[in-house]
Amino acid sequence: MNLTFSYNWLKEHVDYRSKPAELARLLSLSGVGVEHIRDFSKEWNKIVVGEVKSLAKHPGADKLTLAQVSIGKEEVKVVCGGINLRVGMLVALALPGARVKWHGGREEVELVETAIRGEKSFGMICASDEIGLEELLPSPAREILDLGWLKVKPGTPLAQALTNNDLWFEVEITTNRPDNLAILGMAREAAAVTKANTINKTQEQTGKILRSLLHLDKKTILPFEVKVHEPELCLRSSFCVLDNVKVGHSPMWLKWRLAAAGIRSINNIVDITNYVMLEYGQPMHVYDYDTLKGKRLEVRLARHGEKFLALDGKTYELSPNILVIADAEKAGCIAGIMGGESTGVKEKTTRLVFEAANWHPGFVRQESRLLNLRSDSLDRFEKGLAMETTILAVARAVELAQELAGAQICGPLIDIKGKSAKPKEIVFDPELANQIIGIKVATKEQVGVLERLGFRVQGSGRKFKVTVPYWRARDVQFDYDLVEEVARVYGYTNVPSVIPVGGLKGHPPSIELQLERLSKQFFKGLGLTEVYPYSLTSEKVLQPFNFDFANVLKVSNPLSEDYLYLRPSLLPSLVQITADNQEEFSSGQIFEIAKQYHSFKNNSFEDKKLGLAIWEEGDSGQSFYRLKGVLEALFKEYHLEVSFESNQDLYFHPGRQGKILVNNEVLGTFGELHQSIQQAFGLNRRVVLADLSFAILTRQAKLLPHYTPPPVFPSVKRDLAIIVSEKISYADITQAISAVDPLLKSWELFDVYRGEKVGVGKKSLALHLVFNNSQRTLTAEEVEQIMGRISATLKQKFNVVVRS
Amino acid sequence: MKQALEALKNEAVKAIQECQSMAELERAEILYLGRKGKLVEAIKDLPNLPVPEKKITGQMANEVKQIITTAVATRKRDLLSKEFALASEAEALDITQPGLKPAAGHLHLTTQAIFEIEDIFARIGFTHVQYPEVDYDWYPFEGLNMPKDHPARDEWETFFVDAPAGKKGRVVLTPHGTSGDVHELEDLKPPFRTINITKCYRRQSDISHAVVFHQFDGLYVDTKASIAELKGTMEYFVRQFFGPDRQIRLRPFHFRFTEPSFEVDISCGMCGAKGCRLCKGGWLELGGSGMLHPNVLKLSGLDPKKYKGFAFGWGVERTMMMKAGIKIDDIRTLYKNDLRFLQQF
Repeated sequence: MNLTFSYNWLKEHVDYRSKPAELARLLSLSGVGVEHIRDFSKEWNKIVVGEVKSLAKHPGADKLTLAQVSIGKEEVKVVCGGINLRVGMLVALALPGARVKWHGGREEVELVETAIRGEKSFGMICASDEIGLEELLPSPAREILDLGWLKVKPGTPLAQALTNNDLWFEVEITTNRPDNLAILGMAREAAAVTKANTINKTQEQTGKILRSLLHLDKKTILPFEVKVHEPELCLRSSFCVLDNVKVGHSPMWLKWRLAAAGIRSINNIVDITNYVMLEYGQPMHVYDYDTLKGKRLEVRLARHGEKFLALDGKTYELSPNILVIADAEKAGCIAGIMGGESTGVKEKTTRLVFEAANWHPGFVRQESRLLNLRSDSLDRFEKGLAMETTILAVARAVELAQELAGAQICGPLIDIKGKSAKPKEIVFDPELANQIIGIKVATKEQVGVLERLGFRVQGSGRKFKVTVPYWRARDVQFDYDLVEEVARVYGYTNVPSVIPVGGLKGHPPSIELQLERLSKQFFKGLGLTEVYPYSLTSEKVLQPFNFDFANVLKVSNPLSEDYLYLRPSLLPSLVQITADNQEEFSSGQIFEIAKQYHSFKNNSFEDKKLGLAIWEEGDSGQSFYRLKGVLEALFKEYHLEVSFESNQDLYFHPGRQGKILVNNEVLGTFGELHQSIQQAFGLNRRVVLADLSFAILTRQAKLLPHYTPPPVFPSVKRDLAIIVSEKISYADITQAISAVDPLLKSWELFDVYRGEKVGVGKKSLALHLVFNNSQRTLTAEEVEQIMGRISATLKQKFNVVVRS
Repeated sequence: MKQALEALKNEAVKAIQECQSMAELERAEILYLGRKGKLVEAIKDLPNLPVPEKKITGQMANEVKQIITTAVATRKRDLLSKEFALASEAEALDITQPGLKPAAGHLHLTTQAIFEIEDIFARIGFTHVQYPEVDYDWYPFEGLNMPKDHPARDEWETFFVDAPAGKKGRVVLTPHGTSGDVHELEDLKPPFRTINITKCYRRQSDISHAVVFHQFDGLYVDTKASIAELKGTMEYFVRQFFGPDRQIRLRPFHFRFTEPSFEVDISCGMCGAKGCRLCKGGWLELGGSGMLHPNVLKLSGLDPKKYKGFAFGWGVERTMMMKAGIKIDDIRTLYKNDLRFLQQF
């Protein structure tokens, strides 16, 4: 999670000399990634504080005024429409070259000298939304920002006047370091990486207040009691009651620090709780004492159906899975997440109770999930916070309430906790760090790093006892964690790069992965384009295929209806891609090798498949054979003996589909998409698809076939042309001729013709035949004799007409 | 006879030189040198001559034959070269006309990146492996030291599958390639080096996130392993993939399954690590890595005292898109399957 904080605030707590960019680099390289630095002197370049010296009516416009504004050494003339302008006012004056948002628009524009209704204007007096201050310093519509409370000379740059040239550092804090979601945590990190000291002045002051709070007379002036019913979930809770509070606005410096973290100012009391959270990393809550029934707070599980109106204005229905802090009647706060409206601090509040607690991280996380509610507090609690900070936070809040709201303490700090755990101690061997880092880091240096980070280190040689500081108790568990601390602060840039020197088995990848790669390259060579659809798909895409949805895996928390199912087949995606591309591509050949998914079967949810789709203009069956040709080329590449049989998949054209068998295994199917599905996808032409099991292809493929010597004696080639009934298949013919004589070695179809010349219901087939005798040279007579027998066989079996 | 031979020689050479076509030349050759040609005719009485004269005349006849033969050959060469010149001119082709297109297929950019990544790691002994995409949550979470309800799980916007839970937990779509590490630690015997390249799934869709994307996840396990070796491996890959002048840096990060953990950054190729609009202060974030957490080894039944290791897991698309030149600004463009896009690569 990211935290944005005021750089000037950090500087109050660490005494280092590095420039901001250098600090950012050091922090980034040691674990706190600085994502962004906002520099207000740059953002507000050429925006200065101006003092209005005189005002005059604009001669050409009733609603505009001509202002003479002093910027120190000179005065500039500005046309302005603000209705609250008066002489002597301090304003934010943007000079030409400044970047502003016109009337709070989205786009920043660069200001230039201009003339407005005939009057020259050499700048712009800004409203707060024109310089991004609408949250921090809201001004009413048509009014310009009044900076009257600033005690600066005209001409002072705005960033200096308003923020003391502050920077906002946005850092990424990893989940294991909630202690860094606080300015004091950042100060410890900054001190460790810059080898500087932390400045503990404010903490010492808070410590004094804490001690006095703890030693106050047990008797409270105002009656107040706390009862914790769930000590397993509420690990520690601390409270303090204050009186005579004046609720009002927070000072600018406090608002500014909250604004950096994206927290809106509410009133000084609520702001104090947020400020302490940003300072100590300990979320707090505050109750209006006078609204508490029975003048008590109880930590208990919510009752079934208990209603709770939270500070976000929504009502939540609670259950015993939710922990609440309640007065004698009802809940005032959902533990670790959000306070309630009824006991919240209002303008008229004069007495209050500060609360800081430590909640079970897993439990508050579960609450958040049940209620679907998150907050800045939860972001911290769910990561697990240090037990020690609850009392510090309450003391600090009391201190600030005294300072900013005139509060009076009216009772001791109430602190309810279980047995305190002893600080964790870890046995540490510096040699382990050397081994893991891969370079020797001097023991002295290792110890130094740990100490700068707040660890106490005792011992020598290869055995040290390291005591973990309370704010790291959750994330530092064992010696590897200490190695990381040493390594990250020592600096990874100081570690050399070495190619691994360990044992090398160098297994080749599995046959399946090798074949996947070969196949992709093979298809590319044949001119096919590889596609990559998502494996998640919609009901709309699957539905036309009529799959049995009982076997289709469904996502239980889909991002949208488009990604609801894990596709049970590659085919719907391929058809969708064909449909998406049909306008631009009248023909196409695409393929994909990817997984399809099914309910648990044979120890798996998935199968790898090979899918092909081919379409072309004016198709009357060619693409079927084009696709079959691609498949046959693949089978030849992998030396597979396949046979094609009839097939009956409902999503294919009933007369244009087949099953591919290899060694009695069904390798896959192919066929033309059924017309009804073609229509469902809005396809304006036919598409032929193949769907092959990649596992079976892998099992059956032979990458290295047995060697067959080429024939020693020359082969004889003859052509055979026949006219035969459409009812006779090509396989019928080849089966018949292959049985005629063993000297016929191979055949190849080279022409098919249908038309008037051969008559209705007939086709003309032409084949190349190749004869060879491995023992001697064939004579023409021999071949003629076999050709004669072939013709005779075909005539007798299929009533063919042999053409010469 | 001598005079007759001299006359024949002159006549023949002249006639041959005047031939205007190969056919004419062939006829002339037969006329003079043929079996029944003029030369044979001219010397048919040679045997009857007295010996001394016969010798001289015979020699002369040979010379004449030689001269005529040479004349034929010369004329043949001349005629042929004329013929070729004519033919060349007549057959000249327009070299600016486009060539005939062979079938041109296209591999998806993701596949091309996967092949390249696979090859680079193969050269230092990492074997390409693959594991389930639909898996029990032990593999992406528990086995990686992220117990149930741990907030670290939230970082992976995980899809759950409506299927009965098994012994190894609920059924999920693996949100990262590191789940493969747990399978490897369970199945393989160290030492080993593997690179798992797999589809991953996350509930996120914007210009830099696709719901389905790919990661490559390397795992190195041996009796010794160090950050220096991890860094060496990262640097080797980066220089092979992005170019020899690129730098890397390890930035500490936190993952539950590695300790210490890092983000790997590479120097920005656009600005030469000076800092520009594309990068963060001269660096671009590549992906995560770290030394295997002893708990991860333990959870898979390996003794962390005996074995050490490191792992890294990066997005294939992200890594590919960071290569200068491609300039794809929305990852989802890769998966729209517009052939006009796919056929550019």
